[in-house]
Amino acid sequence: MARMKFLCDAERCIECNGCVTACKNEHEVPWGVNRRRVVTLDDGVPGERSISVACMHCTDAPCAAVCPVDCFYTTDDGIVLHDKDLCIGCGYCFYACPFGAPQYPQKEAFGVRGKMDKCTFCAGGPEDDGSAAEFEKYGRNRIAEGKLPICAEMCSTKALLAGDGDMVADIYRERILKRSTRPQTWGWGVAYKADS
Amino acid sequence: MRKVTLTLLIVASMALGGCYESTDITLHDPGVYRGGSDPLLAKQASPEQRARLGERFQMGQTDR
Amino acid sequence: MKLTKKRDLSPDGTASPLKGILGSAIDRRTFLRRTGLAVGGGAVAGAIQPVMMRRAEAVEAKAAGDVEVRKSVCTHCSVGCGVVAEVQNGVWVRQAPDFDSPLNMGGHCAKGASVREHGHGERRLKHPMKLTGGKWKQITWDEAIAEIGDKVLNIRERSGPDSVYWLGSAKFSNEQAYLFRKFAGLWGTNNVDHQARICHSTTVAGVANTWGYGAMTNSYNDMHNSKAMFFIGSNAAEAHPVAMQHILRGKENGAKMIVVDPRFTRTAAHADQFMRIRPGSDVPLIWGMLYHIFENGWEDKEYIKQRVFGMDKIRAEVAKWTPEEVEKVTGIPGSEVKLAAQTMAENRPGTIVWCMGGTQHTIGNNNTRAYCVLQLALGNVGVSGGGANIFRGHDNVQGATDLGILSHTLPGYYGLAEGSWKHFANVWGVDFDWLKGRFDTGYIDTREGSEEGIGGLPFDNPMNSAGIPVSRWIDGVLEDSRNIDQRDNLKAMFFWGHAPNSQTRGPEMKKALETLELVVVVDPYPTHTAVLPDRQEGMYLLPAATQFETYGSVTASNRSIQWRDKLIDPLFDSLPDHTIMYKLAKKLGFADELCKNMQVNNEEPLVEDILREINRGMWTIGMTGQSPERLKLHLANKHTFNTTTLLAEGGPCDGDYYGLPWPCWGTPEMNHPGTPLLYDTSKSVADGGLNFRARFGVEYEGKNLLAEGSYSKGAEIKDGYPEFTADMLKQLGWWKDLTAEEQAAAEGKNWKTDLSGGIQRVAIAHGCAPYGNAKARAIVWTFPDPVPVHREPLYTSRRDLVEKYPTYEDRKSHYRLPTRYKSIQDQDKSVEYPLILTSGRLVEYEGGGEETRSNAWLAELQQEMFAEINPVDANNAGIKDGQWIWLEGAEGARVKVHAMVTERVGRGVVFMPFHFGGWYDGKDLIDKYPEGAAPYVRGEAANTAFTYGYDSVTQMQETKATLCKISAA
Ligand code: SF4
Ligand code: SF4
Ligand code: SF4
Repeated sequence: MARMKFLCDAERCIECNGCVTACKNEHEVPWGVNRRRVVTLDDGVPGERSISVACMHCTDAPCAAVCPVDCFYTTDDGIVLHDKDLCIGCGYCFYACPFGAPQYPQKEAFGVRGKMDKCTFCAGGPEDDGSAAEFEKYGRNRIAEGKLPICAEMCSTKALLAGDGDMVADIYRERILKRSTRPQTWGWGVAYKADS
Repeated sequence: MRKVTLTLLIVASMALGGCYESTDITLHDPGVYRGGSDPLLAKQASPEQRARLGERFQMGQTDR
Repeated sequence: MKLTKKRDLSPDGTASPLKGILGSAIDRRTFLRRTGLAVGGGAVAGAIQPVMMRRAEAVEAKAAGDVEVRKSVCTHCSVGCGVVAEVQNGVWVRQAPDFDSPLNMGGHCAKGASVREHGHGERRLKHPMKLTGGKWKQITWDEAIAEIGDKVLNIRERSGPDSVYWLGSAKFSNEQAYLFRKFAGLWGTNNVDHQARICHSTTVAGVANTWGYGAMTNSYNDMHNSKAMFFIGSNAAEAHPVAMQHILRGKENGAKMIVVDPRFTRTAAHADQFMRIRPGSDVPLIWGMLYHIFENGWEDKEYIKQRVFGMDKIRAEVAKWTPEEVEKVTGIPGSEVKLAAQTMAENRPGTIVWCMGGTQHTIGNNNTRAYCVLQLALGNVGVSGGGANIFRGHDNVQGATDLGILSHTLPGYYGLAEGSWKHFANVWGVDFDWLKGRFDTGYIDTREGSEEGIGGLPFDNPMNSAGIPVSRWIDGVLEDSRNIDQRDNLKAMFFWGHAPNSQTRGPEMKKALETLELVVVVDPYPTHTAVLPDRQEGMYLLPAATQFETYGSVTASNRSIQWRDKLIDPLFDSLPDHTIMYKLAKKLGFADELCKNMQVNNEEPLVEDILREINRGMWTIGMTGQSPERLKLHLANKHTFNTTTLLAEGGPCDGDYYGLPWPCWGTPEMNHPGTPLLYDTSKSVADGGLNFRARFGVEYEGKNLLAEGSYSKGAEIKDGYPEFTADMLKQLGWWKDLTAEEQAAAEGKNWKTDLSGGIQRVAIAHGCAPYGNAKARAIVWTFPDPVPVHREPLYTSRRDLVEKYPTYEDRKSHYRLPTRYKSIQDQDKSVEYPLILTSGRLVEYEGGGEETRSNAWLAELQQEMFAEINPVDANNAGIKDGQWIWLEGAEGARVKVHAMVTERVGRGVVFMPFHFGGWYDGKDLIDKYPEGAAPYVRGEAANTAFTYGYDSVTQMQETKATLCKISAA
């Protein structure tokens, strides 16, 4: 079965932070917690490129592998989710994650102190889809609504793609051909391994 | 729910299989997911849902 | 769970790619977040609580009520991205991508993706406020209007109507913009202006005087068709992010992309060629490119012969710009200039894009005309993929410019001549003599040697003389009143949607703000105005609603007009701008004249009626066909428009171009589809085609100014022709095509003043452009420099060039004020202030930035004001990355900012973003804001340190090339 994937096309990404802000807005992510961020390489010199990064929803997710309370689970299409009720905020997953995705709120509020928060691929968590409880803990569940991640859907240049990995690859391949550039599926080697 | 457990078991056993190949890092072995159930799992399995997401992708992420 | 040994986490040797990067990469954001941690702590703590609270509130709201989907347009830039809001119980609960919009196809930059914050408005100005004894005190609207009204009437009594300044906004809807200009006219002054003066006034003047209209000729979408794209002084990736979707599509289609800028910008990072230019040397670069074009015969000779006037004079000037001289003045190697010229010549059609890097200079009008000339020489204007794609700034700066919130014209660029006022008196249904009597008719300028106003307007009545521009209001307050061309100094200022930190000369501005008798801020936020002056009394803050709390139309950069729904009711005590205008007009005694043709409900003039009045008067630019009904139809059928051509393919809008880009000729009933590309002769005028406008007469120095052998498709006059008048219709034998009613209305009128639209209708029926068919002119004989020439900035570090390329002589009266050039340039400041200072944008913030810095989602991304400094200059000054520095401008004003050491700027150049405010002279003014209304992020206003210098045609301020020095703080 095809799996969900993210791809950030560095030839298109302009570091506008639309994706980052869209995520904050959709899920009311508090100040200091960043499910997504944009990283710029060679800032200010020729060769400068930016890539938008969040949890990549890895195959054999390293975060899940190290979690001492086993709070991670994966959907059939590869979305890596976790249960905040179990999470003890130990921070192991942050060290295991190759992308630095797991985040921890800086301040206590509503007893969520220390619970890990990360990108859910806009798929909520282990609560009733679209429920208030799900929203409060994990943000909105767009996938259940038949929508895709808001960060990609609102990307200013359509640099960030999110969806069925094959469809993502098709669009990207087309662009590569048009531009005759080398493919740079940044992060795919690490995240999706064999099936990348 | 059962499906997740099963998947995780397979993942776990594969991971175990690889455990003597490298001795660099000490990690926890993934166990079985112990959290609450997520109705999304069943939903994602339905072909209609997958078709819906596919359509959404075409509408939103291509250079129309 | 048990502990086991497990495989290496980096099987392919590439594990932790991000951690590697995050560990070592110093980019702007990691830099700022690091520096921000210590200082921004307060802001962080302040921000967390409310955001977390909101999540809980939103959950509750979710439980009840149906979700309604409403559509608006982003209020942050001229791209015009569609915004989709989900509203529940009157609360804006969610924002969705607007996939249907052909302008953004769902995309948003950080600003657009965060507009839902406007529905929270945590840091908004919530109630009318009055400064009493140095403290803000809440008052009611009625008290505010009464007190303010009494005060300005009193000032009018003593000092005349010109002593009250009405500073309007590019944030208005079209309807509000129009009403505001009308308001100032009925008050009796031309002291009215807005942001366009300081962003693209030199474009509007330069470009309109070259070929007819001073607007973007093509569209963002049309860049899909370009073969070459030349950016000069435009950083689209930060200033117009979603435009990059179209630009990068163009690039993927094979276009070559060239970026010229003093900085290696985020846009430059995507270019095929980047040229680092010395700030203020645009004309030499363009002439240097034309040098190669002429030398190699790459110019489009046929096009020039048919459609361009005066290119021979340009040739003579260009011949002086040898590759050596160009390199000497611009700093760009000759080979690079040649390569760029060749790229543009070999890849046609090519487009040119410019923004404030080109416009904000003392010779801004020369720059913009030079850009036009380059495109004319290449035959690139009037073709798809070509054109001058001038990216405007604010969301409705195009509309506010069109609707004349400008000190030198009425709506529609009608100017200020008596005939123009008569036209509008006619449209407004007011008596011309009464209108004239509202002005300071008794005032006669008696100063010796004072010049005429622009366009040769006589100074017999302030009604016909250009008012003081926003760039110079400070001087309107501080200058000796004997030197000002009006009865008295400015005594009262209305900052109606305008941040003061967008204007230069901080210390003098502070003094001016303290000298005024009355300062009124009408804005959703307190702005820098509220905190900069040290005052005890005489200041009011009135909370205006944002565009999401009202409705109306907005004009994107490409002249497409979009309708906005009202998303939510005005928050707190705020009111829509047009309601506030009505309230104030009522107090001042001209509400009936203001709204004569409009329904007024509960003190709110009906927006649709305002647009209908606009439609009845704006014949010059064809803003006559865009009725509220047609615009609403476009809103409902966005998805039917092609994303490259903007043409509706089927559906109820079939055949229209999206947003009926002006000119949309004639009456709405005529059903003109709008004009997607200006001057495109390959289409008939009825289908959106055009030719250059006959605006400058029919001949000059005995030579024909009309087009020769070129005309729009299907024109019955197969050559050039002058603009249409009633007499001309008669001579052509087309008079009988008018209906009897049209004949009655058109008698003695022309295409601009015939309110029936008959003259336009008949001209177009015969395939002709109502405004005539002429050549574009490469020389503008009415400007100080008919041929665009280079002149060094007033504050230049290249003293060796001053003699050869001097600035202008000082002028005694320019927009009512003495304006200095040579006397400033003559003083050599380059030893004390060795570095060039320039400014620009950041993607997260907009304009003066108050609104965006008050938005937690954006503020978090950019917490510190900084200056970019080249490593060489930093080392020479003993400054380390991230430390506090003092930056002092050449007039002695200083700002305290963080140093960001980067090669993004060249050696000898310092850059600052201009969105910060709320600090002065190294101090945070947080205590001076009304409680709870301080933006999350505050910082020194860059423009505090910027210096004197104004364009010779428009009074655009010079903010892209001055001098400064830096030292550790
Ligand atoms: S997929 Fe959703 S949760 Fe993840 S970064 Fe994007 S918007 Fe945020
Ligand atoms: S919205 Fe798109 S272009 Fe902008 S930073 Fe994110 S991925 Fe890059
Ligand atoms: S600021 Fe401009 S580019 Fe960004 S979302 Fe708004 S309209 Fe679009």
